Amino acid sequence: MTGAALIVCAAEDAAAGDLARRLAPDCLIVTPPDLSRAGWTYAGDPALRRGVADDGPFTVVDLCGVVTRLVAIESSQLPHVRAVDREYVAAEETAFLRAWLRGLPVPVINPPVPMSLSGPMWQPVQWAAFAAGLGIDTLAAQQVGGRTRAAPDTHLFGPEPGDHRVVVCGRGVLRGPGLDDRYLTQTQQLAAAADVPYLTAYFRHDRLSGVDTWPAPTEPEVLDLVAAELRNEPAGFRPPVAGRTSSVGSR
Amino acid sequence: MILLWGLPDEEPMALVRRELSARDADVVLLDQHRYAEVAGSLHVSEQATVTGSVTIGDRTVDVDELTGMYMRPYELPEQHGAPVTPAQAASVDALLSVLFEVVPETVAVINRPSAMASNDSKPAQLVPIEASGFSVPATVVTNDAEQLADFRERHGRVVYKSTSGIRSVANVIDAHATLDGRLDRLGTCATQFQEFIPGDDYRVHVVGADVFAARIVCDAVDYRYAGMTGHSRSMTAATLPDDVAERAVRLTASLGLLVAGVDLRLTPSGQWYCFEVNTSPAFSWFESYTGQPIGETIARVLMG
Repeated sequence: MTGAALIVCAAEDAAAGDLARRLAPDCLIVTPPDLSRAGWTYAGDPALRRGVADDGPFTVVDLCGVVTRLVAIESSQLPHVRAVDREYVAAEETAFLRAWLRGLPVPVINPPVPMSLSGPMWQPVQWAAFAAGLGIDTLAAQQVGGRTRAAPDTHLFGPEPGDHRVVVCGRGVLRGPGLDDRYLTQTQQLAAAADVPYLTAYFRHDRLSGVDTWPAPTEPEVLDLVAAELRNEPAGFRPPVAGRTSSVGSR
Repeated sequence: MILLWGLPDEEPMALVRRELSARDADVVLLDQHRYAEVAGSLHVSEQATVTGSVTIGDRTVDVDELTGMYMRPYELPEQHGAPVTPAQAASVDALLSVLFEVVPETVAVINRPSAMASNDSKPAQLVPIEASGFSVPATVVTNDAEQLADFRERHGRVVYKSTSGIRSVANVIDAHATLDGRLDRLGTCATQFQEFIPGDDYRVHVVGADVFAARIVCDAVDYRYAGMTGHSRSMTAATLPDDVAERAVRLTASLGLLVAGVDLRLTPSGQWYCFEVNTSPAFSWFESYTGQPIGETIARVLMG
């Protein structure tokens, strides 16, 4: 491993803390208040971009990879900024990070898109339409709004306990023992089409039942997967874990 | 059927409604004042077919009846009216945002939210702008006084403005000017600085394959606020060179937009610079000066 992994996260992010301990000492953490440390610069050439973490200034050349666990900077994360300025500064810093994090020459889990700093934060109906458009067998999806009330329906798109799960992170894969290769292929197909290195897919009754691109290294095996990608370790066999999920949605 | 989403009195929305009404188009306005009356659902089948409907008051719009959709919603909770809770308003916003994303390509959508968001980071948007063939000004975004000093040393006169989509007045720092406390809080928040590009501004509205250019001659740095700062401004309809017009159309399409306001500047040496692409342009203001049929063209696109 050459360089440090950069984790961009909220100040109180426990999962980011676990990942930082796993990567220590080659790890830098940046939280929203750190963006007010003088020394941040965005330039079109990634080699000229600079940042400042708790440990001091760094450049892109110092990094081996990035994990972003922020969708956007929220005004509530900027207590050091005058209250009247917080909404503006939050929007400005989100815009700054969106430019800073794109086009880096190292893995970014996950890269920013126009509506999120960490991969597409799509609703289930969007993922269902996207996956079905790729030819993947998918459960139907529904979204309601306004005065309409949704009735719970376990036949609809959205992960449930007991679904099969596949996690891909760059070249690494995590899946249950004996799980059909078709699921892995479809998960990799989704990640490539959505242009993200990290993606979790869920399957129920041979159909895609959920997708999540939020980097959630909350289990030891997922921590290993993310750490290996950041350290540019070769992809290899990873010990199988429980083939079915006991819980979903770790955000 | 055409679905509009926004505020009825807001000028671009009002102009599009008038143009649609003049053509007897079947239109439903999802008025943000009436969010308490909105209900809807979307369904994506296992074959990726999108169905569903949105109701406001006694009008219901079926997704499969739509030919066009136009959105200019505002983030103003007070506009939602008293009976609606923030949670209800958020669920309506979420439903409509997704609806604008997932309807088929056969529906004219102005514009899809994910495409509109490209303007939420000006330095990030400069990358596809430059890739389209326009020149872009040298740019740095920094909260570091030394980096700013270095940038000023290299580029002389510089302009600073917001990095995000939040509207701000462009300000200039002359080459040898002292900052006089103007950027005392620079360290708190990185700010976008660009080299100053001399020339005349052109605001180019692209509607599908149609191009409407307005030439603005102004002695203020930011022509939008010339009146407030005592500067003169003139705005007239203009014709772009074919290759520049085609580039603007290609850039708009590459950003996934049907309608855009492209901000160009033509330098005295004949070079075309692009500063940004407005993804929800207030075209009615420009139309009031030039008389160009921008609203009419948008209405025609929505009618399919």
